[in-house]
Amino acid sequence: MIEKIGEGLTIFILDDEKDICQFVKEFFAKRGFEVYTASSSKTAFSTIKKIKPDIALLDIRLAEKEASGLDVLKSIKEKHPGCCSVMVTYMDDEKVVARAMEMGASDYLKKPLMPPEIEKTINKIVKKIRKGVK
Amino acid sequence: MTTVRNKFHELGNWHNKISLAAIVTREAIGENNLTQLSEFQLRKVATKAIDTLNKIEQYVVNADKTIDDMKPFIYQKIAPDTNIPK
Repeated sequence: MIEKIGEGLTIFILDDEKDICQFVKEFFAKRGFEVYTASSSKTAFSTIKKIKPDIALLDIRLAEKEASGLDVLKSIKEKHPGCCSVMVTYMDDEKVVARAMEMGASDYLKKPLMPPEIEKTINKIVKKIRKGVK
Repeated sequence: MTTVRNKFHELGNWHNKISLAAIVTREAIGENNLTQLSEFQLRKVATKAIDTLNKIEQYVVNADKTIDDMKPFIYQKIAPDTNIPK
């Protein structure tokens, strides 16, 4: 039986690959989260404004050239500082990860996204949220 | 421009989709006590699982194609049969 660790919490997922959004959405929905997704920064900005997520899972590298996950992180930090952001990156983007952590990201995950790592990272954040520490 | 880096990222994406699709399918089947489901519910679970398996099959085909695209980059540097750097 899958533990519903996310009950009462909203998670937002940004990934330009719609199938990945869908699979990660199913993964978190099974754990009790209310899940919203976006495949572009533009949709991300409007969705985040509407839902005010507790947690955001943001792919740094997007297909579009105008914006990246870092721009979405910046906006979240300005408008919803209470939201915990987890950045998603490729192995070779370590400098970008360091920049994201400086900008206030709570943690990061490396692609390919493997469910045990996603679960471990998100569980850690959920515990902090439940304890009121972010 | 096609670069080995882009192709490598592309391959990573296919790999990522395959692993995520596999786990959500396993969970979708595993979380249900199949013997207690109605025929309608069983059909729904099976249809969704088959749909995702079809997607996985397509991702594997796409990943193979990406590997083929990468071969010229790799074999320019390493001889494919002898593994000796060129």
